[in-house]
Amino acid sequence: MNKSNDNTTHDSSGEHLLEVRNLSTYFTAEEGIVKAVDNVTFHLGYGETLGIVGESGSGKSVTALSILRIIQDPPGKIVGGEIIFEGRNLLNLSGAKMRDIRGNQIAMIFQDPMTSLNPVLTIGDQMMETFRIHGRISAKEAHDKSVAMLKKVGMPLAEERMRQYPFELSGGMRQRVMIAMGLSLKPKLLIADEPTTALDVTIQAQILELIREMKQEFGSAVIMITHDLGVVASTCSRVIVMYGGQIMEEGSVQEIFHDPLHPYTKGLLACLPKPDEKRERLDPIPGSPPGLAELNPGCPFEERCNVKMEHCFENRPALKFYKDQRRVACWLFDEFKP
Amino acid sequence: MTNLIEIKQLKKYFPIYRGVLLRRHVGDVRAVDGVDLSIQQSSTLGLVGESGCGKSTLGRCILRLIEPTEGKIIFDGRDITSLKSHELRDLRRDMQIVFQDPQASLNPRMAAGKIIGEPLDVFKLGDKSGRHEKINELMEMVGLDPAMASRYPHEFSGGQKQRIGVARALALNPKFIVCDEPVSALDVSIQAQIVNLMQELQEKLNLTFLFIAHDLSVVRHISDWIAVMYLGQIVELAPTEMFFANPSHPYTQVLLKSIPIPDPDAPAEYAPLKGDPPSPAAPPSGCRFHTRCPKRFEPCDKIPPVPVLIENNHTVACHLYSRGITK
Repeated sequence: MNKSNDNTTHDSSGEHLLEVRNLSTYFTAEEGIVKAVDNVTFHLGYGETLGIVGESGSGKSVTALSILRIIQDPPGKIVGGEIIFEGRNLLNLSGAKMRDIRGNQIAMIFQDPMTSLNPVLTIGDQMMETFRIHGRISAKEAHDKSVAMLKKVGMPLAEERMRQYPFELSGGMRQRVMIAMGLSLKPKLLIADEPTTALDVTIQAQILELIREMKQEFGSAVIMITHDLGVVASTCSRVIVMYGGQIMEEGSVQEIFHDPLHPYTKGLLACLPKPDEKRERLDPIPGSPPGLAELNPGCPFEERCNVKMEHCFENRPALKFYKDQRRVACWLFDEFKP
Repeated sequence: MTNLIEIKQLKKYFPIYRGVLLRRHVGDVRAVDGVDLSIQQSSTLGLVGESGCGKSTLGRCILRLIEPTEGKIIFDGRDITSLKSHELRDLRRDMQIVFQDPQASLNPRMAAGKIIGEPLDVFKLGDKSGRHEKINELMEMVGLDPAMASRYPHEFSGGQKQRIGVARALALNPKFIVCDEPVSALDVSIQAQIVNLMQELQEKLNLTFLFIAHDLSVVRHISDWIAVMYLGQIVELAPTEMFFANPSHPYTQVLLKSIPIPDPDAPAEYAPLKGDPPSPAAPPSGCRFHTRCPKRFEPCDKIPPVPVLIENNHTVACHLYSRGITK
C-alpha cells in the first residue's frame, strides 16, 4: 500500500494526479458499435475539483466508470487509450492491483444512494467492509473507525445508524453514508457521479457543502459529474463539457461561464432561465441529443448547431488548445479548415 | 380577473393501519392539511416544495383523481367537491394533467397517434376521419411531425415523449392543466423547449396552469403566482415579482439560497438547512417548520401561525409577521 502523503501540499513538479489520454470506450449494441467515450483526453491535478458537464448520453458517466475499470464487459469495452494515475497506467494493472486502487486511492459516489447501497446489509456492515478489505484490522477497530467517519459526515446518532438498513434512512442520509464510505480510506481521487441529482435542493445544499468540507479535510481531488450548471459553478475550478462521447470544450469555471467558446456550451448557458432578466421565451437548443450509434463522421453537435458550416458534417474538429488551459473542438476556432 | 379554481381548507389524510387480522387505524399521513388557494383564469400558479410536502397530492385532489378528506374545490364557479362519478366524467374534459416521467406515463404498446387520440375515443368525439384530423392537428401544435403517429413511445426521445403527453392533455380542449413536474426528468437543453411550448400553448388556447415543480428558476420563468408548500401547508403565496423581490417566510428564504446559481462569481451563501423534513404522519407542533427554522422564537413550537397579508396579495404563514405575537 502506498504511504499516504498530504495531497494538498504535494510537490506536483508538473505531475498530475490523473491523466486520461485518448480514452475510448465502446459498447456493442443491436444498432451497432456505440462510441460512448470517444478519444477523450484530460488531466486532473492533486487536490483539484474538475467538473464534467453534459446531458444524458454524453459519455460523462462512462468516462468515470472507465477510470475505475468497472465497465460491464460485455457489452462495454475500453478499446484504447491510457489512464495514468500517479504515474501508473491503470489499464495495464492486474485485477488484484486494480481492486486495491478502488476505494483505497480512487473512490466513487453514485447518483442514487438507494441502488448503490446493499439493501440487505446494515450500514455498519457496509462501512466496515471497506476498512476490512483494504487493511488487516479487527472488527472492533473497523467499527470504531466507521462510527468516527459517520460522525465526520454529520450523521446524527451514528452508533445507532450502524445497525440500521438503508431503507431506514432518508435520501440525504444515504448519500452521507456513501460519502463516508467513499472517503473512509482517504482516497486521492473522489469521483462523484451526479451526487445530488436525486435529492431536494435543501438536501443538495447540505451534500455539496459536505463534499467541500471533506475535500478540505482530506485534500482529495474531485471529479464532479453533473448536468446541473449551478452545481458546477458553485463547486468546480475547471470544467470539461462533453457531448456525444467527446469533449467539446475545456476551461476554467470562469472562462466556461463568462466566455464560452463552443456553440454547444453557449447554447446550454443560454437556455437556462435567468433570475435577473425577465424574458418572454427561453432560447432552447433545437432538436435532441444524437443517438450514439448513428453519429455522423463530423462534429456530433452539427445537427443542432446554429453556426454550422458546410464541412462540419463530414469532418470532425480536433480538440485543440485555444490558449493556456483552454481547449475547444470546433471548426470556428481551428485555423486549418478542411 | 376571475378565478377558475378556488380551493378552501382542502385536506387529504392518508390513513395508516397496523395489524393484519385486527386492522387498526393508528394515524394519518397529512399530505395536504388545510390549503386555501385560488388560480386566476389564464394564469399560471407555480407550486414549489420539497419531495413529500404534498404538492402532487394537492394537484391530484384538485382534479379529484384523489378524493380529498375535507374542504371545497370550486371549478369555474361550480363546487365539484362532491360530484358523482358520471358528473365528474364530463368535468374531466375541462381539466387535464401532464406527468413528470414521460416514459412511465405513456403506454409502451400504444402508438403515439393512438395515445393522443385516446381521450377522443373515450368521449366518443367525432368520426374516424375527424379524429384522425384532430390528432394531426394536435401533433403539429406540440411540434411533432404527424407522420410519426404510428411510432411507439420507445422510438421517441425524452422531450418528444413529453410533447406526446402534452398533446394528449390538450385533446379535449381543457381549460385547466395540472403540470406535475413536466420538465424535471428532461435534459437542460430540452427543458427550455418544453417550457416554451407550454407558454405558447397557454397564450394560444387561453389555458390555466397549476405548475408543480421543485426547480425555482423554471417556476419563476413560467408562473404569474408562486406558492410554497411545506409539510402539507402553504407557507407563502405571492405574485412572482413580489415573491422574488421580498421572499418573507424563513423557509422560502432558505429554499432560494439553496439553489446553486449557474455563475461562478455569484456570492456563495453556505447556510444549508439542517436535517431532513419531518414526517407528515407526525408533523411538529405549532409551526411545522420550527424544527429546522433558523429564525424560530418562543411561540413557534406551540401556536401554529395563520396566513397573514404582509403586502398587497402577498401572504405569509409565519409568526415573524403575526399580529399580537412579538419576538
